[in-house]
Amino acid sequence: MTPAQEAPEAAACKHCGAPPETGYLNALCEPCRDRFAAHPIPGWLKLAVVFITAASGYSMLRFPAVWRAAVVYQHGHADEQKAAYGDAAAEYEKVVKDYPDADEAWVRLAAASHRAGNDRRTVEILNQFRGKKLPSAEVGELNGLIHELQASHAVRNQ
Amino acid sequence: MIIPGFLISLLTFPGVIVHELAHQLFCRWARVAVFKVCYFRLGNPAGYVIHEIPRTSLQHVLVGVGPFFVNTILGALIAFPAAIPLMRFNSPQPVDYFLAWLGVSVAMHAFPSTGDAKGIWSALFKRTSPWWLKVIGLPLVLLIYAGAIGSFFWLDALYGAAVAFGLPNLLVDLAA
Repeated sequence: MTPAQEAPEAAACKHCGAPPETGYLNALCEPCRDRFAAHPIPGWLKLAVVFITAASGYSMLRFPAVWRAAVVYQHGHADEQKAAYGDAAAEYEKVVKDYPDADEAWVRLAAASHRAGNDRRTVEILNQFRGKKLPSAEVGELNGLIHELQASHAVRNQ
Repeated sequence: MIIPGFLISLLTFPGVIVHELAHQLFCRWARVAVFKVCYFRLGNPAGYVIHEIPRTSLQHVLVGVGPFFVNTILGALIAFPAAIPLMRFNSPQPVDYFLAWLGVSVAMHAFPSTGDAKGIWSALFKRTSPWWLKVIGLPLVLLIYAGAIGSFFWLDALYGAAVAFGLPNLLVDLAA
């Protein structure tokens, strides 16, 4: 934005010669000022505005579901920290329903299900990960779960 | 790393266009005559609006800081639903990358230029400016100056990323 350099107040509108509006440094009459203030917006920009409005609208439509999933995921973490694993697993189930590709949420669901005593669900999830590449932190968590499952299975078989 | 400004402007051109359009629309609402608008170009500045000097300080401040609010709010709004799948679930869809780029581009061009800041500064400290406008405007102008100068150190890009990614995650943390 660059304000134009102005001349001192003049006696006539520099555009049409009519009496200028008072209070402005720039000598323009009221209709001319209105016309200049309503500087036209080019057609391509109107199209761009439609496009950006559509993108914003699409974002706003997705907003409630994304917000709900993010808050639920945080509640799951909080439940896990309080050792309320059943509640945590229920929260994570909601997240993976909306975001089936969210590996981290699946890992948390597997861990919470195991700690809540639902090993069947844990094994289901572990099978899903077979042959899949994951970040090392998640691989470590899953390996820990597998060891815990094997250990509890061995104890049950004794 | 020094990346030419025109390249950054080119990569984030929607933000430049939104910024200049916001200046123009605030001029329209404040009845300030506009003489020329450049929405985007490969130069410095990447866009500009040439308008008359507004009659009141309030009009001047509105025209100057309008894009700051428009770009920030629009950037956050566009990027929010993309930031969560990208940052929290690590499960983005292709459209999320697009919305994240659009959101960051728009938000990183929120800061008015030093030219804008100079104009707002002079309007604020006119004898006729009301005291409340000085109180509200001073921190805003200082922030704008910091942003304009800091763009050399990628502060504008950091601001864009903070608005597009940091804000949604912060809000979720506060709400949970």
